[in-house]
Amino acid sequence: MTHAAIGLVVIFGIVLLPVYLFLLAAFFGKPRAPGVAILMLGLPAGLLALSLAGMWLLGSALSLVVP
Amino acid sequence: MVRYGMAVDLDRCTGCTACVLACKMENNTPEGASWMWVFMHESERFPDVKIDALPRPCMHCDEPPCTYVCPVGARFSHEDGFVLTDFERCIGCRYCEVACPYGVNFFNWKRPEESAYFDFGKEASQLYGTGSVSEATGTDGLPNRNPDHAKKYDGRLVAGGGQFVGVMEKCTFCIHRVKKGLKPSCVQNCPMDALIFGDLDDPESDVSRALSRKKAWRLLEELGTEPKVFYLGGRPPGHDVRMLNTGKRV
Amino acid sequence: METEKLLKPIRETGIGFYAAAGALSVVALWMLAAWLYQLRNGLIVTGLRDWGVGYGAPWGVYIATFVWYIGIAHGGIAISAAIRLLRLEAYKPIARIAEVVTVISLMMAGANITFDIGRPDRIFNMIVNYWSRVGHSPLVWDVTVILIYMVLSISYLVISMRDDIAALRRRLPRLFAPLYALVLFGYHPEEREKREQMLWWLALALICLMTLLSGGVVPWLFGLMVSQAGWFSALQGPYFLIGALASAIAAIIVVVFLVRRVLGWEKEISAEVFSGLSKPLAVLLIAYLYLVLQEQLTILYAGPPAEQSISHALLFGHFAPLFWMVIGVMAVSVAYLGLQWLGALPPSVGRTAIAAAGVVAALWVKRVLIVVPTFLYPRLPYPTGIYVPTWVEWSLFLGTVALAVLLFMGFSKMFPLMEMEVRR
Repeated sequence: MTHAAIGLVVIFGIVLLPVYLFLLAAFFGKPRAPGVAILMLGLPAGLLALSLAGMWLLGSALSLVVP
Repeated sequence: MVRYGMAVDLDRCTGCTACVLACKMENNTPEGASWMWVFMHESERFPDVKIDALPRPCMHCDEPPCTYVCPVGARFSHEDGFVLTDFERCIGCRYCEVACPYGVNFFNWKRPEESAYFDFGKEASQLYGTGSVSEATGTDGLPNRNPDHAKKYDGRLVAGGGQFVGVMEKCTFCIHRVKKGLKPSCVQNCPMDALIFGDLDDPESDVSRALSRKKAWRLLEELGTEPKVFYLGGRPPGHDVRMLNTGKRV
Repeated sequence: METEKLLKPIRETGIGFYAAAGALSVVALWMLAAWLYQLRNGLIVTGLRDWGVGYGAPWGVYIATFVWYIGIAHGGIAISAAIRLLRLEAYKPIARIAEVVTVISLMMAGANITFDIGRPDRIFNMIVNYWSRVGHSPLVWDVTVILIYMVLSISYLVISMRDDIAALRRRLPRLFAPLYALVLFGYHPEEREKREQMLWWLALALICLMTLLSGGVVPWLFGLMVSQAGWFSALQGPYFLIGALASAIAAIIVVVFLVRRVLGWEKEISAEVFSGLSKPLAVLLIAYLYLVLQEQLTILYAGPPAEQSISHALLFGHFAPLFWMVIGVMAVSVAYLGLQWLGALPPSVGRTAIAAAGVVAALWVKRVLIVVPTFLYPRLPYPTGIYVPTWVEWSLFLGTVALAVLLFMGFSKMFPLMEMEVRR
């Protein structure tokens, strides 16, 4: 019997619901200003990309140190 | 499709720990690590004192919590029933060790050269001159003393111990031997034939026939892990047993 | 406050700052050296060992510290959300300080996880294998939600600073001009209405996310494990959540107290802020003690043997001194804060801060008491384990505290620690 991928439901179906709500409010909430919304959301998106890149860089740097 | 499992006949086991030593030699495990372990338990009061030996390899569970929690999929279930660790992918978070209720996991706390018993590359040539083990096996010594440990199975490096610092390892049911048609080293070396290995889904296998002869029980069955190591005879250890042996503090 | 006073920490740096920054930098550098030592030699340099045959604990100070920092990180958003969603204007003066504490704490939480893993050079494997593992591994859930929470918290902080930076730009140090340009990217005053609307929903999202992180994803790391006696419990979610909120509010009290004292902001940050925060803290501490009672009674009454061994060790055995110290500090704090609240004791900012500091420290010890004992008393009859952290673990843990303070001090040199609008 395989183990169900329960995390997909828990994380993307429940825990992240507030984030989806925020995104919906950003684009569809009054006042409608998709330009501002995209600008503001560029920050967390950019930070996320930066974090992932940073993880990769840190790992690469550490591979020179870890025996 | 096979589903490997093991039966441990506790009516035959004398607690000699040949299996423990055989495993260590076969898998080149680091100092202080014992993938195969034998509990020696003393219980009850005089004149009914009992001493029980309980060999404990990895259970290679059919519902292995260690595989569920691994964040990178380094700990995984092989289709033949092995539960294995990919030493090249493991990030050493030790969550598998935390999730396992049996205590079968060993972490490489030290660098291989600090925790190995013998530097096959350097010391062998000093001791034996030419024809050192590394020359004989065509390897560069550490860590792949047993050349089978360098083999990958489905592209994953899963056999043999003590190869990288900071990664987890445990009993592999000697996949590198089984894939060659041999028995795991503990099974092969038991002088009492107390360890029986084979395909649980094959009614004619050694292990299936052993399980049909005697009633079997498993450790911590109530946790739902579906371990594939079955005990014949003996009894599950109580919580108040007295330990007669301990591991070596690394 | 007057703009001059607000900008003073940024424009003037005294000898005290340099001395403190110097000392903290030494501690942080020592932490890096210790980490390098650990990276080169492996985790053998810690007191961590395999449980069972190795009779040790594979998780210890680093993981406990990680949980501790995640807890503290909730103070920022708890206060910001209270201000924005519940319109509790009285706490506006401390909003930004609290948000900075959140951001820094999340980073330190990440640092402690990085210290704990055996092969940090392979950390990116979690991303490479993400989609095959997020369905199953609570650790991956952790990484997911903490990363999202961190980027959203940083965004919340930065976006809420835009008006202030725009107004103060010419009076801020030229050295950090590129930083201010980044903060003000695409800025125009007309964005305010939409921006505030978004910040409102973001505050709501963050408070919900925080509840599902501190009361969800983090406790699930432990609560879903049948393997470890004492961990496997549905109580872990609420238990961790209350603990997190308590340590968060306590930490904010301590930080705000220090900032207020060091910068001389007694007028701007009134004593009412402290008495106001001390009330939810007292309630949370009572709730936490109530949960400890639930947890321990449930086990001690007629619990399974492994669980009983752990509870005995906590209440009467090896861990009793630490356990009762934690309970004692929390109980004394509740008593003090409660009496202050009831008016039986005169309100005192200083003593409230001391009580809060005690709570923060006690909740660090409590996290160690959650993580470690279960490994030392396994379900199967292995020998009772031992765990003693080494100098490496202390150096790395305390190093992150020093680094956190350093980062906070750095922030105070670049950005105003209070919203300008507050003075109106």
